[in-house]
Amino acid sequence: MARPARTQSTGLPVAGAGLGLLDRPEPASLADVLERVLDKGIVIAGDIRVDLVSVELLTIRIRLLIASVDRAREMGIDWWERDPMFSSRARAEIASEAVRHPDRHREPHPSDGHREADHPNGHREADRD
Amino acid sequence: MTDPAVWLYAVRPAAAPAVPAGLSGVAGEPVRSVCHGDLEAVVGTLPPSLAAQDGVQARLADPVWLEQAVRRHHHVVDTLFRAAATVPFRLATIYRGDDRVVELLETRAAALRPALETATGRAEWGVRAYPLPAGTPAGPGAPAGTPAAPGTPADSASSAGRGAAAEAGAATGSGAAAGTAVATAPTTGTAYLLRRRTELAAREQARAEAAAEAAELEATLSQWAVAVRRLSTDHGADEPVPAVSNVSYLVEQSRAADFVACAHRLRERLPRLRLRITGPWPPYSFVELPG
Repeated sequence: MARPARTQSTGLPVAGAGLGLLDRPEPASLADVLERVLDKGIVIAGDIRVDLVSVELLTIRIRLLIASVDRAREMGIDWWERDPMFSSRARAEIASEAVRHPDRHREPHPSDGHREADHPNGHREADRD
Repeated sequence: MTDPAVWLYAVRPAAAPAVPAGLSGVAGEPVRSVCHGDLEAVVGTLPPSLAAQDGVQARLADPVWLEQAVRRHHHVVDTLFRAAATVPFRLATIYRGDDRVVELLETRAAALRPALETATGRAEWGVRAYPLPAGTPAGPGAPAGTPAAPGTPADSASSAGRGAAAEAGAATGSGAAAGTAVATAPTTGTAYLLRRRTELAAREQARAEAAAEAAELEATLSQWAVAVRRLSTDHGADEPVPAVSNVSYLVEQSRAADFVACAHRLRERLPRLRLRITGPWPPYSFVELPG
């Protein structure tokens, strides 16, 4: 049921309803998207000048970053996925562990009454302008 | 207070189905439509922090924001493209308010209408071809005695080491060695150089064969396309080898299945190439303005 409609061995896409609803033969990578979205599309100057040349240089850096992450993962170097500094998943794991062993992870908590005094203006993210 | 900044995603026929509710844009803003005559612009109003003169430029310098903006811009364009003919706009095309967008639809209608015609009922398909490493398929004409391991840097490093070691021990019979060394491991500097030359020739031949196959690939696929655009094959360090062909094909919706089937058949017919087929894309590469 969950399998998308495809003809058996060839992997041919089958037309769906409407335009472009073919199975994608291969998932588009970020590089594929960047190649088209950054370099292509109709160019009509808007009211705000945006310099995309420097942006294109930046994408080279993004591509390098993606490539190195993929390569590292292939090599099994994925430590950051378990490091709370880099990964929200790891943070969530630590949080759930803290629930099981509350005394091991003693952190300031709003219910600790006296802590409130340390942060008089509760919402810090408000603009300071 | 600065004027509003309106990000333009795409232009469609005004008769296109409504922009899906809940579709959001580069800054998470709701995406909406601005109509004028038979044309519709799909836009989003940026938050004040981005509406400032250099707001967007500054954010584009942040790789995380840029990546997100690229993905979101594409998501909007792609969603529209799946429902109706869509002319994608280049990333970061921004106008000071809806009035300016209406002005654009009015003054550039002569350019936008043909672009919409090009886009109607068609999709872009990308086919990238990479040469397979020399010697991998070991075809009948492949030169003997060069295993040419895929890990090229390590390979050349180790053979250089071997060459140096062999030279040290082979000072006596170098003349005799040169004749036989090509078939086995090199034993002298001369033999090493000979082997190196064979390797380079093999690589050169593989490259030429791949180029010939790429020409056949492009010629065959072009038969299914209404237009063809060559994209850059210089693709930076995220690919192990540069592509020999990177082409976008604009294909009628009715022929898309045939086009993809043809590409899959070519995969088997062209042993020197590895193909990467992507699509259907909104016609990003086919909507440039004349002149």
